Amino acid sequence: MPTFLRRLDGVLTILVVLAMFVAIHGAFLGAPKESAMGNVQRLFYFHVPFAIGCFLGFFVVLIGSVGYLIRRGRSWDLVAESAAEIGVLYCTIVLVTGPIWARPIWGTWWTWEVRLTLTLLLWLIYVAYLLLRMFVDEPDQRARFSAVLGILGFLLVPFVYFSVYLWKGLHPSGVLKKGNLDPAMRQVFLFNLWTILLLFFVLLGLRMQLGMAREELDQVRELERDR
Amino acid sequence: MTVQRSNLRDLLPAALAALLLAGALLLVCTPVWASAAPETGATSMAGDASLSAVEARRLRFLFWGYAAIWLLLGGYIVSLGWRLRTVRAEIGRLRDRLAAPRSRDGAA
Repeated sequence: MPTFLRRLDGVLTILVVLAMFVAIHGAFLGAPKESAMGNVQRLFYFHVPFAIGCFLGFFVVLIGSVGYLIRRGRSWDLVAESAAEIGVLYCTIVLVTGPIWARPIWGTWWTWEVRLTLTLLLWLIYVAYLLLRMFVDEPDQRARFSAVLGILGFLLVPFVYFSVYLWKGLHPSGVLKKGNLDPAMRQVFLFNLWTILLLFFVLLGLRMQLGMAREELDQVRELERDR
Repeated sequence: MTVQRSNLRDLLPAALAALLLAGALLLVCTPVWASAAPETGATSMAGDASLSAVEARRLRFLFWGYAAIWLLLGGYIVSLGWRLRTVRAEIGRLRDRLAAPRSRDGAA
């Protein structure tokens, strides 16, 4: 990794930790209490940014997968693999915090409404993506198979996003549109969104380091076998 | 593809500690901070002077929601750091073996 990128990684890590403190402060003190839902609505400032972050993660998987199928470069596959893992983490956070928020507001932990069901399906697809990578040993075959699944999996993302407009459900629609959110809430939300997206890139950098280290380990093992 | 021993690795424990500290602080302060924040909208679920039973119940859910976020995030960062350390230790061990002179019977 070039020195410039390593320095950028370090700066981003420090920046994201500082931003996280501000984000927490904003979610609890900066944003006013929502009148209908009360304080539990404060989950919004992390739940929704993590949902958008998970879409970004799966979009990066799509880019990496298409890149691999066109260029056949190992680094494209590494980007896709790393982004998938972080996308699944973000999606898990969304699937866990959603029901915790839903229980006191909707009166139920889970309902099979379209957005919830599609989000669960999306999570399952990318968990399957990670499992596929674990069970295929041959590197080229693994990269090819997972690239196809990574591309197909992303087809679900627009449906998850637009599901609140296409089908009536419990999730509100158009909350993020200008004018629908209190200005103070909107400001905190946007700051938290950028923080969570920045965190995504920091984690992506770390996860890619792990992937590169594993490749180096394979090379060293080969050297040892040939010895 | 080789791995540079970057300064990011040294930053990881500090970053993790800061995140976990933020999470712990958040968990302790959630009810106090949340009740201190100004309110928006025309109606209020909570009373002016004290938290209603409904609002107290919602604060518990808020607490568990953020606890889940920090546990998942912290757990992932710890697992990432642990996996990186394990792989790097294995690389170091193998490189040492490769660098060591072989004995006459073929063993390193």
